[in-house]
Amino acid sequence: MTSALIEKPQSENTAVLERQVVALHLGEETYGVDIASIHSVLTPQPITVVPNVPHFVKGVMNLRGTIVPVLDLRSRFGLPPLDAAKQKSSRIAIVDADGLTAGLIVDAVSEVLKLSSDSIEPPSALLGSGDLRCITGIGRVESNKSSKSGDKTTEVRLILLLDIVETLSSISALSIREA
Amino acid sequence: MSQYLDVFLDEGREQLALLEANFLNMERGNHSAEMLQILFRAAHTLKGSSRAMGFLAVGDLTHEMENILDDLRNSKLEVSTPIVNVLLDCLDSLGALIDGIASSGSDTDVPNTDIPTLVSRLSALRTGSQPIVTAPVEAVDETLNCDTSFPLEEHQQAAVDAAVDSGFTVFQVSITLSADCLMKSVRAWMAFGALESIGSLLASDPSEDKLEAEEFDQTFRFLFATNSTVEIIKSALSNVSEVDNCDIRVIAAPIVNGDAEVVLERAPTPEAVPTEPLIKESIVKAAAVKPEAVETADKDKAPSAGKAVTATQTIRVEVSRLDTLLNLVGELVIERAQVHQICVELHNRYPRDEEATQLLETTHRIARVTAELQDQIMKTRMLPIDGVFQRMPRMVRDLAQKTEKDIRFEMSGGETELDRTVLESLGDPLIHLLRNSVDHGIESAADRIAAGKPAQGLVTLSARHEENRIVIQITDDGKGMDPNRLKESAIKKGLISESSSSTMSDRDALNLIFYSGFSTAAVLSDISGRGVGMDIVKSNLEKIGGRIVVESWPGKGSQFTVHLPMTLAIVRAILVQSNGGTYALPLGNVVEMLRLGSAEGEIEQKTLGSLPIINLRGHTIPLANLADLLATRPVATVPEDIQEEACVVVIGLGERQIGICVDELIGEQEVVIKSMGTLLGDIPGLSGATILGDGKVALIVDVTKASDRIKSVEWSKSDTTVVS
Repeated sequence: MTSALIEKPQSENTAVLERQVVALHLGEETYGVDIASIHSVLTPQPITVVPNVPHFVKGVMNLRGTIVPVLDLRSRFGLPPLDAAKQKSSRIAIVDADGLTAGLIVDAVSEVLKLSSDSIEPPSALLGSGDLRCITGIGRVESNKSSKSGDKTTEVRLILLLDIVETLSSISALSIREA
Repeated sequence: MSQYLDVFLDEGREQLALLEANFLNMERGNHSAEMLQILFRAAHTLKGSSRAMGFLAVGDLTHEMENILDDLRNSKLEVSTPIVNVLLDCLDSLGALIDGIASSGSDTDVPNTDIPTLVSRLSALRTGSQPIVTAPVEAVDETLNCDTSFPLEEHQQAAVDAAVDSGFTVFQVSITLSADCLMKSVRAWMAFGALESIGSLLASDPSEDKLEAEEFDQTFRFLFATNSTVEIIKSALSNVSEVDNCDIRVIAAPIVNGDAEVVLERAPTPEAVPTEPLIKESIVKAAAVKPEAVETADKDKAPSAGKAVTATQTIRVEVSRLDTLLNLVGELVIERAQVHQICVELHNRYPRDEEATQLLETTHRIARVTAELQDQIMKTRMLPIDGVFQRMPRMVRDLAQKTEKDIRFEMSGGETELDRTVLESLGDPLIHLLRNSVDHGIESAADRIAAGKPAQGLVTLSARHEENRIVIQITDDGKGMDPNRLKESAIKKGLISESSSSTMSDRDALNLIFYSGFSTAAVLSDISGRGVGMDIVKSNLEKIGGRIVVESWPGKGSQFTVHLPMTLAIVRAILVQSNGGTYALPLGNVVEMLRLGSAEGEIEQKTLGSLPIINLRGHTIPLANLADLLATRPVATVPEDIQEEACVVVIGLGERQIGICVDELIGEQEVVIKSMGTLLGDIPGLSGATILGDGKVALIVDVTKASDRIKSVEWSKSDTTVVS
C-alpha cells in the first residue's frame, strides 16, 4: 500500500498527492506509518512472554479479547533497549495491515504528519538504522521555527517511511531461521 | 432463483446421502419394503425439486432411478449387485452434477457424468419386466389430464367409485404451505410423492402441470385412494417441510371392508362415518366443519402409531454466525470472570456491606447462566459423527471389490456428537486408516482360509464418548503387523539405526508406521498411498488435538484408536506458574498432581543415570521443567535444576507418562482457546493462548507436542552415544 503510492509516476500536471503518516519515535529517528495502518496507540500493557519466537517479539497482549503479538521495534532494528526510566513513557502502536495485527513498542508517538509525494525520496542505505527492506522511502518535513532572536528558520526533518506488511511478515521468516 | 439454489443443493446432498447409505444396506440383503419406499421417495423428491429448478440432467437421471426403485418396491425386479452398482454409479454422477450446479449454476457439461449411458444402463435393467402400467395408474392419468375442480366431475367420480369398489378409501387431502415457502412446487412434488408412495392419486387441484409451474397460491388438494389410515397419510406428509396446515377428509369409503373399517373407526369426526356406500360431497362438507378436530386427534394418535415421524423443527444457520456467537460468549465468560474477581475484592474490603454480598451472589448466578449459555452454544456446533461415517461403507465396498477381498464392514456409534471443526478434519484420516485396514490388514480369501480364519474379513469402525473425549476405533481381523518386520524395514529405509532398534520396544516399533517415508506394503498400490500416509494421518489428527494409538497382534489383526477432544474451542485446564509466567495445561492429559519433597503426601525426586525421575506406585516417571520443554532448543532437565518443592503435573501420553515440574499450581478452570494470530503461526509446544480473569494472557501448553520435543532430544542423545 505504502509502496504503491510512492511508485506512482509523478506527473507535473496532476495535483501533488498527500500522505498522512503517524510519527513514531525510536531513539533519534522518526518513522512514519501510514495512518490507515494504525489501529490505536496504547500506554504500556502487561505482556506475556512467549517461548520459541524471534528475540524481538516481546510476547502477546490482550487487545479487547483478541490476542495480539507485540514487537519491540528497537530490537527489531538492532537498537539498544530503551532506558528503564523512559520505558514508562513508551507506547504500543497497534498496527493492522493485510489482516496481520500486531503491537509495536516505540519510544513515543507524536503527531500526524502530512507528506506530499514530491517530498518523498527512495530509501538510501546510508540513512537510518532500520532494516532497509522495511523502509519504503524517506520523507522530508519542513517546519518553520521562530528562534529567540525572532529570525525564522526552516527545520528539515527526515521521516523513514515504514512498510508495515514487510516489518510484520518478516517475523515468520526470521523465526524459521532462528529455530 | 439463487436463494432457492442453496436450499436445493442442501436438500439434494441430503437425499444423496440417504440414497447411498440405503443402497449399501440393500446390497447386504436388507431391503424391506419400507426401505425401498424411502428410497423411492428420496429419488422422487430429488426428481421433483431438480425439475422445478430446471436441472434437467438431474431430473432425467433421477427419473430413471425412480423407475428402477419403483420396480424394486413392487417386486418387479430383484435386488442384485449389478443393480446396486448402476445405482451407485448414478449417485456418483448425481454428486458430480450437484457439485457442478454448486460451482457453475448449471448441470450441463459437468465432467464425469455420462447421463445417456447411465440412463440406458438403467433402462436396460428394466427391460423384460416393463412396462406394466396398472389399472389405477391409468385412471390417474385420465383424471389428471383434466383441469379438475372439486367437487368431482363425472369421470372422476367414476374413478372414485372404481377405487372404492376395489376396497380403497378415497380421501381429499388439502395442503396449505406456509406463506414464506420458497419452493412451492418442490413441496407440492414432495407431497405428491409422499402420497403416491402409499396409494394412488386420482386427481389434483390445481393440475399437476400447474403445480409444477408453481401456478397456485398456498393451497393445493389431492384426491387420493388408499387403504392406509389417516395417521399413515399424516406421517407420510410430515416429511414435507414448510407445510402450514394439512387437512385430510374421507370422501368415500367401501361398505364393509376390514381395512376401511379401521380407517373409519379412527376417523375423528363421527358425522363423517359413512353409513351409505358412497359419501357424497355434501356430507363430507358437513364433516369438514371441524378440520381442527382431525388435526388434534391425529396429533394425539401419532406417537402411539410408532412409525409416525416426529418432525423436529429446524432452521439452517450459517456456520460463521455460530462461530461469532461462540466468540462472543467466550468474551462474556472472560468478562464475567473479571467482574467476579472485582466483586470478591469488594466483598473482602467491605465484608459487612449488604450490597457487596448481594453483588457477589448475583455474579454467582450470572456465572451459572453464562456457563449454561456457553454449553448450549457449544452444543449447537456439535454434529453426529454419522456425517463422516456414512461416506465409509461405500469406500470400503469399492475398495474390497477392487482388491477382490471379501469384507464385512461394521459401523457403530454414528450418533456420537462432536464439534464440527473436529468433524471436518476427521474424514481424510479415517478414510486413510480404513483403506489401510482393507488394503494391508485384511488378507486375500485364500490366505485367510489357509490361516484357519473365515474367508470373509471383518473391518469395524466405531465411535463413543469417553469422559470428555471421543474415541474412534478402527479394527480389522487381518494379518496384523510384526514389530520385527517393521524394525527391519525401518532400518533398511534408514529411519532408525540398527543399534537403536535392538532396544526398541514392540510398542515403539509399531509406532514406526507413523514415521514419514515408511510403508510396509511389499508392493506399493495406488490404494493406500506411497508411504506418505500414516505420518500425515497422525499429524492431521494432532492438528485437531487428537492422538492415535496403534495395537497389533500378528496373525490376528490390528486396532487403531483415535482419541479426540469433543471441542477445540474450550478446554478444561490446570493453571500453573512457571518461571514467572502463567501457563494452562489442558486437563485431558493430566493424570495427577503431586508435590516434590520428603514429607508425607509428597514424593521424592530421584535420579536414573543423569535424568531426574520419580517413582510413582512402581512406575518410573521422568521429570522435566516446563521451561525446558518450551525452550527454543529443548534440553533434558538436569536434576539440580528442579526446585526442591516444585509441583509435578503427571501427564499421560498413551502408555508413557512424564512429570512436568512447575513452580506453583494456581487452579483448575475452563479456558477459551484463542489463536495467537497468523503472525506468530504455530509455536512449538504451544496450542494457543487464553485470556484470564484478570485480563492477562496465559499460554496453553500442548503437552503432547512439548513432551515429544523432549523425547526427541533424549532419542538423538542416545543415538549419538551409540554411534560415537
